[in-house]
Amino acid sequence: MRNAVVGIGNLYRRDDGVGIHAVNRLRGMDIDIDAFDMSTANLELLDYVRGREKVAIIDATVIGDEPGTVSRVKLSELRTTGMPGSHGLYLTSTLTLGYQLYPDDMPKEVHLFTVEAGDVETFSEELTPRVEASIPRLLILVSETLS
Amino acid sequence: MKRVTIEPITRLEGHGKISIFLNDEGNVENAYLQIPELRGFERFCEGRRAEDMPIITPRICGVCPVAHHMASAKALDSAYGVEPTPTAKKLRELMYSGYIIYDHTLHFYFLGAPDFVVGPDAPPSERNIFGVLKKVGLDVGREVIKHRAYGQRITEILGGKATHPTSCLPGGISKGLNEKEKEDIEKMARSSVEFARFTLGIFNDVVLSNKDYVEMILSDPYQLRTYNMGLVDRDNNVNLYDGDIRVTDLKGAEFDRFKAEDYLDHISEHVEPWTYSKFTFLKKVGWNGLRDGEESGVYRVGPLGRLNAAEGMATPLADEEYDRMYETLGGRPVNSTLAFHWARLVELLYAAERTVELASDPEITAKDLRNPVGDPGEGVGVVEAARGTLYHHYKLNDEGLMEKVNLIVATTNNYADICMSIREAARGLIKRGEVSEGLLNKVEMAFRAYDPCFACSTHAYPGEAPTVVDIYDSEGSLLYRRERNLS
Repeated sequence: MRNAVVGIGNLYRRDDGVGIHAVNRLRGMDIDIDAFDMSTANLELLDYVRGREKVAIIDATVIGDEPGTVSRVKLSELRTTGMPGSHGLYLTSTLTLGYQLYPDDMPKEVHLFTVEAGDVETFSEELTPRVEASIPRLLILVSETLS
Repeated sequence: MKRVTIEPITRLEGHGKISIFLNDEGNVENAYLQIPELRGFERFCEGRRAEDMPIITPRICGVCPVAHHMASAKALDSAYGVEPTPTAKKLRELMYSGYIIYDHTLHFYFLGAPDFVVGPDAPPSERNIFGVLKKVGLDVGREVIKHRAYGQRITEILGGKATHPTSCLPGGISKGLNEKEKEDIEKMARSSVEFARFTLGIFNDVVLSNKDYVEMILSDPYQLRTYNMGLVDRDNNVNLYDGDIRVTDLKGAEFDRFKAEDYLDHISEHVEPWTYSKFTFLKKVGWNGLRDGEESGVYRVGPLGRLNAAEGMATPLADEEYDRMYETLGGRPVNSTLAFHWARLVELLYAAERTVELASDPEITAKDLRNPVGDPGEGVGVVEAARGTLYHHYKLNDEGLMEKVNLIVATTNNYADICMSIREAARGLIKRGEVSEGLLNKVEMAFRAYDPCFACSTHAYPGEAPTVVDIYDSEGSLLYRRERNLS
């Protein structure tokens, strides 16, 4: 099965949708990667990643970096328990659940890429310029990681 | 006066804050679940094209988007004066049953079971899906993931997308079913029936076989005597997609029955200054504050409200379970808030059986998908969302643009009940100013049973939810703060 990239975010909340924008652009390129998008890191994530060797996940952050900053985040740095709101799971909880339930079927490598958002409050499908400008580098990183 | 505050609430969508007020003796006087957010979804629908509504409104909430999609499409059927074709109705209900399968499955295993299967007194770090899996085993976990995915897949086949479906239109549905899809759905549905029975088995073994749990279910702090509301078919069986809205009284007898479009003659909304969510009540009885009993127009919706408002289930296995529940808990209506969990599983079985019925109907692959619409006007659409009765009411102008939107969601219908259930649970746990250890969780259990969704009720954006309890003395100064750190 091919490697996969998963973009997470809300396309209508401007830079929050950067992961989905990135995935959409990968879809338009001739590369050997399956691309998925999701609103939150819920259980469907397991359907997308199971059976694959390598997976890249792209999400937006609001952590005080310069807008457009692309980072690689170790999954071990993220919180693993609890629930955001009532009906969701954290990304790491979903993946942990996957590794518990399907130890032979989960990817050997999961890489998380984040892009610092400049604006997640405005209803817009257009990225802010600096976040927009980060996409080419992000796509190179993702495709190198998955190749 | 002493005040206990719990904010926001874990495993609950959106933000909420619980304030418990004690009297001079240190006992609970009142409790309020405050929802301090406003999203104003209705307002930003105004001026939009009516046909966009079934696409926009599912965005209110990622948990029950199918319910909003469906209520919206039905409101447009009504506003355009068009009846969907027989096949479209079946396809819509089929999609809807898939949604109930995944939603009820998620609630039981991820949200409800941590309290029962792991235990109400277990540390919070273990009261989650991982704790549940430790108890029930990884094989069960895989079945949970599989059947939740089945429900989503069924929704996706019919709705185009699993989470935010797009296929329902005024007068019908944009996509039919082919033979292969029909077969796939049938297979998933049959498996879901077995899964639902298995889940009821777990409930039986873990909850009903445990004397302490049964005692807790039947204990006073978890009782609430109110009217009940839900959609029913002609035989007064629970129906999730369509039917009359039936209200039963405290003895279980029919108290009111009406069509969706007449809802404003039967229910009304009450506003309090301390919260952005409104309270609904029965007009015939009136709003008499946060109290239960015959004199209070408060009613319950959701799995237990529906089962109480009906007289049975329309499918054989679920109907047997329905009877078993009422026999075990002392007849209809059941007033125990914690019985919501059992009722939810009876509905899970019903939804799975109904999916089999619909998917095996030879006419489900027919091509009559849509009837032509009439002129734009006013309309109401009602469905039973997983959490309870959901009303969409639209007024369109001559050009088919939205002039007025009113949404009454399940959590709003249950809001007064949730506040009262919190109060009653707290009363059992706070005596003369002494707050017993299990307070936080037992109070949370009271409202979690309703599976409330604040994103829907205020149409507000959900956020992170660790728990904080503040306890104030009689002068209103903070005595101590208890924080529940979930990480």
